[in-house]
Order: sequence, then C-alpha cells, then structure tokens
Amino acid sequence: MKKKFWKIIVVWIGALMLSCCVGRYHISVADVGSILFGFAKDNMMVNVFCNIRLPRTFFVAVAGGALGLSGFLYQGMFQNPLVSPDVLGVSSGCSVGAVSTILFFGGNAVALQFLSFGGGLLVVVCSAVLAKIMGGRKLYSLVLAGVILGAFCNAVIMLLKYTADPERQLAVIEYWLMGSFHTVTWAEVKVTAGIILPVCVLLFFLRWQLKVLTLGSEEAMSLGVSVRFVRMGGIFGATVLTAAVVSVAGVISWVGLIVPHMVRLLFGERYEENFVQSFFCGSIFMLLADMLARSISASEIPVSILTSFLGAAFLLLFLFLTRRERRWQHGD
Amino acid sequence: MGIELREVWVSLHGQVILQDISLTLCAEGVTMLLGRNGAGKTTLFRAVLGQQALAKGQIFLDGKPVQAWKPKEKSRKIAYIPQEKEMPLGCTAEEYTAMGQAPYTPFYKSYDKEGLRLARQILAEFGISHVAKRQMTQLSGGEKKLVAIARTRVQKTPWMILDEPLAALDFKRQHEILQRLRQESREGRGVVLSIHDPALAVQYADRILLLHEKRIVGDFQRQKTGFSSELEKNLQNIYGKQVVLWEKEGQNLVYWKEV
Repeated sequence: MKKKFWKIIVVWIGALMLSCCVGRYHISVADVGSILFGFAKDNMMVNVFCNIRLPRTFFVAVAGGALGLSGFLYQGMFQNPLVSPDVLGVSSGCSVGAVSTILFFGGNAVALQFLSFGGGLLVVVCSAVLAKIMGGRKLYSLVLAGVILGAFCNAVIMLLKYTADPERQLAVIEYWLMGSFHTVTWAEVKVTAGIILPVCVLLFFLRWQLKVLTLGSEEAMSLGVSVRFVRMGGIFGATVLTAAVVSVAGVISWVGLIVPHMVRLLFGERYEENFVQSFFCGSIFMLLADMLARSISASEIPVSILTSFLGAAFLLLFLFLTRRERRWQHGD
Repeated sequence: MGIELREVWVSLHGQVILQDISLTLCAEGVTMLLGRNGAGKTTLFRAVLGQQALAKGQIFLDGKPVQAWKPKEKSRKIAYIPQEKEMPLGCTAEEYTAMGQAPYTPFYKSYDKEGLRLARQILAEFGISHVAKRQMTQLSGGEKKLVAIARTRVQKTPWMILDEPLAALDFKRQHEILQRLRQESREGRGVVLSIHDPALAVQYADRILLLHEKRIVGDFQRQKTGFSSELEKNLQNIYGKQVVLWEKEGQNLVYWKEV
C-alpha cells in the first residue's frame, strides 16, 4: 500500500510541476525553482507563474481529485460501476444555475458560482425527495428520480439557450457547458478548495462505513451501520465535491466515471486504498487533460472535449483488457 | 430472554403479508422456517431485525422492543445474512469476514489487525483459507455462503439469521453449509434460517416453523412426541398430499410420492 501510494504521489508532484511549466508563456522547471526560492528576476514570468499558472494548477489538481473521488463514492454507494457523479442530476442542476446567471445577471462570476453550486445541490435534494415520494427500492428510486430531474434540467437549459442572444450570450453558454479552467483565479481557488478539502477529510473518516455499505443495506444494518445517515452523508459529500468543481469550471465529462475504473485496473480492487488513489489519479488525469487543452492548438480548447476523447478511449481499452482477462480465465 | 413476537402483523403497500404471528425463539439449536414462495419468510426476518415496520404487535429482543435497540447494540446480538447478497466492490474474503468486527469498532474503522487475524483463523477453521485473499466477486456461491457464516462468527452474536442460505447451491454444498450451521448451534448460538426443502429441514432442524397463508401454522420440536406424524400432516396441507415423511430408527426422510 505504502509503496503504491508514494509512487502516485511522485507522479502527482511531477504532473503539478509540468502543469506549472506548460503553456503559451514558457517556464522551465529551473525557472519554477528560482521563483519558488525567490531568485527570479523576470517580473513577467513571476506574474504569470503566481497569478495564472499556480492558481490554475492548484484548482485543476483539486478539481480532478474531487471528481475522481466523487465518481468512486457514487459507484460504491450505488453498487454500479457505470454510475458517474451525474446520476442524480448535479451537473444539470449546476448548468441551469450557470446558464440563468449568464442570461439574467450578465455572467457575474460570484453569482455564477453561487447559483450554479446551489442549483446542483437543489437538484440532488429534489431527487432525494422525489425518490422518497415514489417509494419502492430506495437506490432504484433515487437513480430514477435523478434521471427525471436531469432530463427536466436539460429541457430548461435548452429553453434558456433558445431565448439567449445568439450574438453575445449563446457562445458564452456553450463554452461554459464544455468546461474550462481558463478563468480560474486565486479567489475561486480559495472558495472551492475551502469547500472541497474539508469535505474530502470528512469522507475520508467515513470511508469504512461507506465500505460496509457496499455490502448492501440489509447486511450493513445488521453490522450496526446507520445506513440512512451514511448513505445520505456519502451522497451529499460526493455531490458537494462535484458541484464545487462544476460551478467554477463548467461541465467536465467522464472524469468521475473513468478514474475509478483506471484506479481498479492499475492498483487492484481495495476499497479503502482505492478511495485515496481515486483522488490522486483524478487529479493527475485532470492535470494532463488541462495541459493538453492549453497546448495542443493555438487557442485553448474546452477541457471536456479532451476528457471525453480520453474517457471513451480508456473505456474501450478497459473493456478490451477485462474481456481478454475473462477469456483467459475461462480458457477460451 | 430471546426473541419474542407478540401478535405481529405486517402490511406492505396495503396488503397484509404477516398476520397475527406469536412465537418465542430461544438462542439454542437450529430453527428452520419452511414456507412456499411468497409466504413472507423474508418479511418475517426483516421484522425481527427491526428493518420492517409493523402494522400491529411487538417484537422483543432480550425483553426490549427491537426498535428500541441502537443499531450497534443490536448488531452485537443478531447477525444476518440476506438472501440476495450484494457483492462488495474491492473487498477480499478475509476483509469481508473481518467486517464482522464493525459493531465493536469506532465509526472511522470497520476492522483492525486483530479482526483480520481472527478472520484468517476462522476461514482456516472452515477449511477455506485458500479463498482469503480472493475478491468476493470471484468466489463460488458455496464459498460466498461459508465466508458469510465466517463473518457472523467474527461478529460474535448469540443469534444468526440466514435467509435461504441454500439457494442455488449444489447437493454437497447444501449439506456442508447445514453441518456448519449445526456446529455453530452446538457452540451455543441460536441459528434461524429459512429453507425450501422439507427433506433437509427434517434432517437438520431442531425446530421447524411452518409459514403458510400469512400465519405460522405449525411449530414442531424434534424432541417432542408425534413430531413426524404431525409434521407430515402439516406439510401435506401446504405442499399437497404427495408429501410423505418416512421415519425409521430415529431418522426422517421426506419425499414426493407420485399419486
């Protein structure tokens, strides 16, 4: 466990360093060292590093970790490896909040973050209430409620886009919906990290209870787990993680779905270890995707384009590898 | 002391599932609950565990209403293995077994090194130490059931309730599981399980309860006189006249006789 953990940490630090260097304005690793130790004399370089690269790198690292962990938690709680943090409609709710802000409040950054975060949480709370009203098997009802409210939110987004000014507002909305980190400043980093990091710590302490919950409600109850409290705590925590990221960076697809699979494939299945690995691998994946997004073309491309491409390619590889393993096990 | 059901009624979606059930279970021997599909066996177990709301009546565990027990305290009394077991992602057999320690650990831990050591020891006692490091998702049906029973041993409860533990198991595994459960009862635990095969019930049970049309219609203790004849009559009422209970030299055999 410890050896694997330190390997991930080394790769993570490497990705952080690289992310500080990659971009239109070239900064070498030596330059980073000189800035960190206060020897740098190029003010422009110091400014780019301290006010653009560093907040962005820090935000991307935290955001990727939050999405990876959120996906891992959702998959465990719903006992379904195809579940992503979107299953209860959090991203759709965030999008409604963000699109409304762009249309009615001129895209004010603070209002956008606040309304988008609130919209995501509101939709998940509504999903839980709707599932309670529907009754039946709780997890299925919850997923169904999430699908219904997600579809409703998407309809609202389409309606809002239809009414948007095609010259000024529509492009902004579309760009936001594709996700990007180019607007990140220290102010956003402080707010988002202030939400994400404490939630991650709380979930870390809850991870054993969440592991018992993967045995199913009845068995977890018979082991003394307060199922309702732990499940709601887990869902709420994972939702807050996703909403905090989406409210700043826009919709970032596939990370929450793919990263937990990547972790299981690379390190084997062990819940409590996968918990931490999902955070760091999510972070590394996001840093790499962001570096590509800002370096493969003349202008920065939305990060969701890359996470979707990478995600689809990885899923294909994952299916290929697991099928080959199964064939090998069955001696075909 | 024990588990006592007093005039218990359970309804689901406006439909009565269990009607006026009164019985007392003592923490000794193997008690088997027999009944046809949909008779309400799982609902009865869920009610005993406090996971199912009652329409009427009360259930007591060691003299205290089952709903009044705190989840952790209750989990130190009754271990439960459900019929449809969900397979945990990322959990080896020894880790799953060690999770039986969860009722005794603080919320930020579900087992410790001692729990893992105990789990390995019990899996070895059960003769399945070779599965200890394997993922639960990779075990066969019989191995999963044995590992689940091992988990209840780590849980150190005076009671264990198993909902159809023999479902989808082969002939040999069925007998291995039942022998293991009988061993558990001899070591002082009360074992309650639901089962579909009357032949296995008469071979292994110390007490047989018959659940039919929402009620307990028969309660048979092996040591009481007239066990076989009364049981046969009641089995015929539930399953049909073709059921025959044959008794010779203290051994019972149930079979289906074509009419």
